[in-house]
Amino acid sequence: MLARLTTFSPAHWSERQRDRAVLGLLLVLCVLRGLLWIGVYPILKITDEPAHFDNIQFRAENGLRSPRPTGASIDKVLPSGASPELRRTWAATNEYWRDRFLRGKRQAPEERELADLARSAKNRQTTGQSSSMFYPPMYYALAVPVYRLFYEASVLTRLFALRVYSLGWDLLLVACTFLITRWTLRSRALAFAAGLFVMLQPMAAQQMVGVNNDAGVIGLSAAVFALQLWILRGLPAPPRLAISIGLGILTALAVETKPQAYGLLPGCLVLAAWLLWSAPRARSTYVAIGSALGSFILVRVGSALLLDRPLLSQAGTHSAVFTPSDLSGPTLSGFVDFLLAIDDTFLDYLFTTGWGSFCWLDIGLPGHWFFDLRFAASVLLLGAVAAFVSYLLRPATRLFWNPRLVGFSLFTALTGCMIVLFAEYYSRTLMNLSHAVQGRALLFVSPALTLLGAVALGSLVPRRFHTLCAALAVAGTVLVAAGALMTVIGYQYVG
Amino acid sequence: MSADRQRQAALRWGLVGLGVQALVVARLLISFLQDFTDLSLRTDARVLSSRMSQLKPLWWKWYALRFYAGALLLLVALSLVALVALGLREAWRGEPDPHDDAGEDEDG
Repeated sequence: MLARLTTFSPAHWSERQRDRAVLGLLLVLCVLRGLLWIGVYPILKITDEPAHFDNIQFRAENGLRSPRPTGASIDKVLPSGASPELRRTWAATNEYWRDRFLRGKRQAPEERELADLARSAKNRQTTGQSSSMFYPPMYYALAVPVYRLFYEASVLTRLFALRVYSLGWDLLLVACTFLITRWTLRSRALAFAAGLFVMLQPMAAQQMVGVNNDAGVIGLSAAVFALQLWILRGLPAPPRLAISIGLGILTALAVETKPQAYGLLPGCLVLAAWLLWSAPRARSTYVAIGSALGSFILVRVGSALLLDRPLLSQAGTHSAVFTPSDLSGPTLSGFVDFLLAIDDTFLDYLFTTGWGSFCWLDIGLPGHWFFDLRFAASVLLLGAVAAFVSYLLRPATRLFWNPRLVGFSLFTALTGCMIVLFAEYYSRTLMNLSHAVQGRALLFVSPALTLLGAVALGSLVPRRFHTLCAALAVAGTVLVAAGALMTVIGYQYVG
Repeated sequence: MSADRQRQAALRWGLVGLGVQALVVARLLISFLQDFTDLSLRTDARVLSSRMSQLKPLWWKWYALRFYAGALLLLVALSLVALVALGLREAWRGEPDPHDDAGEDEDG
């Protein structure tokens, strides 16, 4: 009995058990963090929440049918054809703000009113004419069961339930980030810090609890990236059939959620090319590639048939929202010129909007935080140089990181950046719209970026200091997250 | 270079690296304290509790939020203490991670 009890002591745990325990701790932290953030962020005030909710509501109330443009004008903030209950909620949330709250009360009269409105189907009817209509359908379609679960409950309950649904994607992001960092680095502590970082990074922390398809694409992209690294670890051996099919399905789901997931396709192509190069005559090579491709196509065709949407018009255009320009269309040479012309101002814009621009509350992290974050970024850059020098000078077996996996992460981060920059170029050329893309669009490659950051951080010190290094990273991450949360609380609730 | 000198050099290198990272965290701590003090001065907890409880389902009223925040803070604090304790032990002993190759704990 005593012997059995001692095996429960962490000192006797195997490596795998320790990893599972740390992963479990991260997931518990993620749930608590999510529930807190969900409650603190005022209702409908996370980026584009009314439009995304409107899309889910249209599908849930119309048998999964996708909303189609009718030619009606589309408002960017609150769709004019939104359901009466959503419009009432929007009005209430604008009314209850800072010192306009009811003093000494735990419940506003509108809560009762909204619960009553939900009982009548006509109060839940929307025309679906919102800016989110031009996005692929997967995030919304998967959210429909959650909406239906609280069908006749108050719209507030449905909105919070959908925020919890987004939190599910956050759990996937955190788990995948921990696992890929653990596969790549020898330090469990740095892997824990990486998982905590993607959970608490201010913009990710906001988007992963909002009713927003960002949550879906970030979670799914993390899963795709994890499968890519899993396959890469095993090469030249071809992946198991289930892994290939899983990669095909998840990639299709990611692409069917938000267009920037196309940035993950080059990674899939690299893996396929590597497989073909290492075992060109093996039947298993073609089975792996064929099954991944087949499942990808199957999910996309299935999505088109079941969700009533055209297969090829992926991103659509926001022509109803933005005025199309008469500028020439995008070209490869034009894109290269655009890349060469990128200046510090635009990079700074991406940096600030990637870290702490809580749009719709129309606030950002105060300036002194950005000074600190730039300081942190330069330290990481120093670490990246140290990692590169170690790679050149030391044999791969003496590095604390796996060069193959880190190289692939760098490639994914670059393709992710390219697709985001292309989106900016696209909107400038077709819609004459500058700064249309924000830095948070890069969050779909946050596991790759975080992994690179962990390598850079670990390269600044000898290996025996890695756990202390992770402790400092955790402390810094928690401080930034707490600062962001206080910014939101201070702005919204403190007069 | 002798093994002892190598160890000394690695120690110095580690302390410099950790020092730079500690500077970053110190800067973040100052920013945090600045904002925290500012918010505390402007906040009446009773008023905040009633404001934050409105327009929310039951699970996200003020008392639930306090529970989530408390549990989160406790777990994060415990994790941080465990990391520091483990980190100090590893730094002191130079104990390699069980995944590491033996005798290579000085590499960065």
